[in-house]
Amino acid sequence: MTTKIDNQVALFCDQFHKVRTEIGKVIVGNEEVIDGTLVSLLAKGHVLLEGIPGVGKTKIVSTVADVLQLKFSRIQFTPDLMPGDVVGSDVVHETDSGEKRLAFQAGPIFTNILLADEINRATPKTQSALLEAMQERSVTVGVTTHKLDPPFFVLATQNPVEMEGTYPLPEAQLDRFFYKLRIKYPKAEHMHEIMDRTTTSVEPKATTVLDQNQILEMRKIARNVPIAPTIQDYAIRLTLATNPGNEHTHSLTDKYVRFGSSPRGTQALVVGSKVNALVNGRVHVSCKDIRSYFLPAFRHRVLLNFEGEADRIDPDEILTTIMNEIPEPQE
Amino acid sequence: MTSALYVKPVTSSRKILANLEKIDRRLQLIYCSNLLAKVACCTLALSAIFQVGEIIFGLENSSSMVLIFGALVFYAGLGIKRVFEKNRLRRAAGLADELADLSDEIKTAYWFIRNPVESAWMDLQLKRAANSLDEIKTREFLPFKPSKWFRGAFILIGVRVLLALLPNRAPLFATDAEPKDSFSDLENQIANLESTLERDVGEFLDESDLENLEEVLENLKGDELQNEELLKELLQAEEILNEGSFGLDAFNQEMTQLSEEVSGEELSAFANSLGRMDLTEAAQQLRELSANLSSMDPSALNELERGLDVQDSSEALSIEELLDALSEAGTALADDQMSMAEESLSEAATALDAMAENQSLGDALNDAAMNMQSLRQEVSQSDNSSSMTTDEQMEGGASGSGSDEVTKSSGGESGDGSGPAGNSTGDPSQVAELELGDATTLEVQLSLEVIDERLTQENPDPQNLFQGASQRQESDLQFYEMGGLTEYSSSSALDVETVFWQHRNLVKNYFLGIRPLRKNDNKN
Repeated sequence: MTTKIDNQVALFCDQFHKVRTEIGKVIVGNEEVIDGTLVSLLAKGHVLLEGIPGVGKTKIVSTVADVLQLKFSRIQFTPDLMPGDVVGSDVVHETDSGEKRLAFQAGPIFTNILLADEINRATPKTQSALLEAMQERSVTVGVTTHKLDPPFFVLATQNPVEMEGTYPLPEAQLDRFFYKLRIKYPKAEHMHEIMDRTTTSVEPKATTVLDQNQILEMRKIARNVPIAPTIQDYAIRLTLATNPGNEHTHSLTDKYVRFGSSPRGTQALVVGSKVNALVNGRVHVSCKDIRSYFLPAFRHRVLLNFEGEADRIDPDEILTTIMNEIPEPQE
Repeated sequence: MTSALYVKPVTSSRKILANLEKIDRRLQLIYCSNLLAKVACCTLALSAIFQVGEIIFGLENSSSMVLIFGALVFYAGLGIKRVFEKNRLRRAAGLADELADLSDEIKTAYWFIRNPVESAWMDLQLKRAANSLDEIKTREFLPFKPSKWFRGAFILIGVRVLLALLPNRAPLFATDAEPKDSFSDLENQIANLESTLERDVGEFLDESDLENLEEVLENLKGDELQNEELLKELLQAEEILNEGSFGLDAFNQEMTQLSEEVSGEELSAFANSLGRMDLTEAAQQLRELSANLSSMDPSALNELERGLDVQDSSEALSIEELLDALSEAGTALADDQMSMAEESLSEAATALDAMAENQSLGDALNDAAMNMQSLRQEVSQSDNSSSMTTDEQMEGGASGSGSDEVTKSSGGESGDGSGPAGNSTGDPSQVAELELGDATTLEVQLSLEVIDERLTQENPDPQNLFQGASQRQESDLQFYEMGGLTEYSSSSALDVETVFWQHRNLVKNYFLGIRPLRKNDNKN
């Protein structure tokens, strides 16, 4: 039995690295974002990508879709986008016999990988159309609930500048995202590589390495990784430290945070850590795994209070301090 | 998974536990050796400090053994506590993870061993952890390196050996302890003198002197004796003892005279012994002479008879007895009464023995007198120096009270009238006896405190002058270099400041003041 699991773990590790390598053929740098995206996909999560225009948010998503043999849709969110444009609607359909019937016309959400580009430009009404789909993996139109084909993976992007005419995502919507990943500006050496790849006639192309079933199997394997209660306790202590008004609360939290991470954040931390453990060929979760994805899992779940916003506090600063000051279990 | 498929990996668990115990043993060894080194180092350091204290200040070093014993008990206690501590294997697991960079693999495995659950994943984890632990070479990961504290301990041992080899173990700064030693000397002298007085000293001191001396000794033993009274008592004791020692001098003179009067070859050794004041030997020689009397030839006996013919001019009783006995021996020899001559010589020897005992008593009294004299001188000097110190302090007070020049005079005279009088309550006669020596002159130059600028004004306002020091100020202007608002290439587009730093607090406070309070908002 252990040999079988051993093989599964080895296969998981191998497949992940194959995907990673293929994406790396197109995307330069941004390893943390790519890893975070894949981990989120394998942990049944959704990702919110944040970055200034032109750093490759959309390119990363489209490359991921290319590497995985999955259906891919893209919705460019704009202020006049309506929920029906996302989920679909009942339309009058005329049959061959001339009979007119209402038939459900599926929207672009009926896919495996959904790129919600510039999600903060749509109205909250349209944004919330994604809520049910992201959490329940189903869409209800009228009285009919339509199941989404697994895996359903939303990759939303948002631009932190040019905030005029945008609608920041509500807290409930933010909490549905497994990770919030920040795309940094590329370094000089990466810029050279990007120029070399994108300004010639030959554009690099990633090949498909994983199909739908393989992804579903990997998802199943990831959930089986055991975690020792001491490690889990570490994740819980980190979560509680971000929440004001309890015995584990950090002083910075008390000062600057209105609401900390929900238990859903801890779930994301633990499941993501399990995937990360497998990616590293381990069959147990370590504190290092927890720390690796602490910022992506929590940065959008920590809501600053007025003083925090007035002082321009970045949630990452608070989280980094918490992570550095809360000790790992030594024994 | 069904339980039928489940095979508990006992070997993995056992392997892990065995390896952890091995690591734990290694840890104990390292911990105990480090602890031993630290305790040894600290103990030796303290011990060396005590030893240095003994050499420099003459402190007693009896606490060293207590210190070493205490350190051993402390070491044993800590060692035992560590050995019997709970969760040792958990600690070993944590250390193994840390040293071999195993990402909590062993910790997790140890937890699974303690809380077993039927899971193939956990079994796999245990199996992998066991393999990882097998690969750890304990000796490489936990090398036994002698602690740096050992080096310190060896250095301190060297220091201790060097200190022990120092030739002069007398305290270097014993002067501070002198007054105490003087008084302990006094106590020793009083004790010696009392033991001497318990013997028969009637030969040297008459009854009234003896009573006076005993009274003086009782007074000297009093705790609250002032220096002045102490000096007086010591002087009295010295005088009494000196009277006794005069009697001893007279006795010595008589014995010397007797040694000169005794003549003849047979009595030459006896005369020499008397001359050296070795009365015990002289008595022995008389006894030998008495024993050999019968074997002497007539000429020798005649010579002895002449030699024993000494004049009885002494007034001292013991000398008179000796002289009588010698004369009787001479007479008996002249009458050829050998047995009587032997008896008389034996009596003379017995008288000499008694005189030897008195002589030692006299010597003791003489020594006591000399010791009393030296003690009196020491007390007198210390009194003198303390008196000088007091005078200097009082003169210092006078100079600090405003006079530019102060002349210190001895005794009870004040400075020059401008300051308080120094030692004005002292007894002039006593001060004269203490001999303070020449007067000392101290000169003090006070400089004016200059406050520039204000003095140049024609009519400076005293209030302004007083407050002037706070008018000079320094100020720092804080500024921040502001870059362009949109430096795209610097990857700091997210951190662009739209409110200048100098206005940020103002803006923040404004909004803090007008905001509606919500849950978890700080109210201040």
